[in-house]
Amino acid sequence: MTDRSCNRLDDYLGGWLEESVGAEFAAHLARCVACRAEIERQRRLDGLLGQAGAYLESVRPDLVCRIERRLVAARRQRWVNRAVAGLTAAAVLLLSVLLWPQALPTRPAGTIVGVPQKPRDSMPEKPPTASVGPRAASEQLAVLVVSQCGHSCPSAHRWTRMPRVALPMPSARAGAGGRVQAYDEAEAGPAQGLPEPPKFLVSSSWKGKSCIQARHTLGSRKVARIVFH
Amino acid sequence: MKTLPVEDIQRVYRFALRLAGDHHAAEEIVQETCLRAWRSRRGLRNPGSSRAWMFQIAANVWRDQLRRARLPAAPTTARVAHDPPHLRSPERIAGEQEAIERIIRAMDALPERQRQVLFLFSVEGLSQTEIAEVLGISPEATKASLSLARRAMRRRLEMLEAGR
Repeated sequence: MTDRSCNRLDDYLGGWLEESVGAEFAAHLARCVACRAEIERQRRLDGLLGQAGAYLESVRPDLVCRIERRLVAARRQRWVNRAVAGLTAAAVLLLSVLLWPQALPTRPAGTIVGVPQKPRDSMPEKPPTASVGPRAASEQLAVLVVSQCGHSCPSAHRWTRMPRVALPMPSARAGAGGRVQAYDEAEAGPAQGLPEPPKFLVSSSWKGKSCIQARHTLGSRKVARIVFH
Repeated sequence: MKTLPVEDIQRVYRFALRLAGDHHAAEEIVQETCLRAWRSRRGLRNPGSSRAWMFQIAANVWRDQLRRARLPAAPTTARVAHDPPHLRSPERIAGEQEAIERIIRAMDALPERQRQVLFLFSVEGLSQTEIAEVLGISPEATKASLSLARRAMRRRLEMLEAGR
């Protein structure tokens, strides 16, 4: 190796030289015996290494068997893991279905759905309720509250919604008098199945609760008209 | 991929020998490599690059083992096989086999990184980019290691030919 170009031999062999530099090195090769000998040696070396694969070590047959066994065990383990996960999910689902009704909070009769309830001790008076059978207990009625006694109740003349069981019933307590009318929108007449108290007394605590509820609009088929005196 | 082809296991084993330099350690690497390859088989996007992918897993397994054991990589004690597959004239087989065995021994005597790069490039036929990915080094480092390895191997071949 006589000049600086000889140092580029490996780049030339690797094909890493730029085109102009490669042409320059090719011209160098024409006059450099040492580089030509190196290239020839590299070709022999590449040929020998190319055949080396056939002469290299072989795995022992028992290694292949061991690998097969580990793969089988891994497959089995994955299947077991999936089965356990599936069974666990099914058990959780089953338990949640079985325990769901018990987990629901029990609501005292006479409360209005969606209204924050005060502690029972602080309630001055619980509104009397009407029990009209199991079917009616889950039914919601749209209620129009109409004040006829000059109260400045903000819920007056607004529609509200409450369970049928929470409809006020006559009470012997003092307060303003009122009456309730059940009204069937579809039939444009009195609704069937409601208790029909001609008069009832409205306590202030019930009135405060109804004010909160009076934000709903008419949506259900049956409506009840409550008239305050 | 229900199981791995024996050829793939063979290739990984030979590469693992160049990594670990020990038959027992190489077998451990191969087993773990096959297991990891099976577990992450869905991660192989290009089936054409499965060879480089397997080598990469093997290199990762080896690095993990080194990290755990904190042991330096030993020089390889790989041996060449004694059952050449091609049937040629006995004299030629003997001459070729001897030359190849010497070359393999010379390759295995190279420094660790040069040995791995030369094996992957010249024996397994991986590209420089693939080698860089397998070994977790830059393409420039791959190129430099390959140049050094080839130069050293030419010197070794020159000595072998001069001593013949």
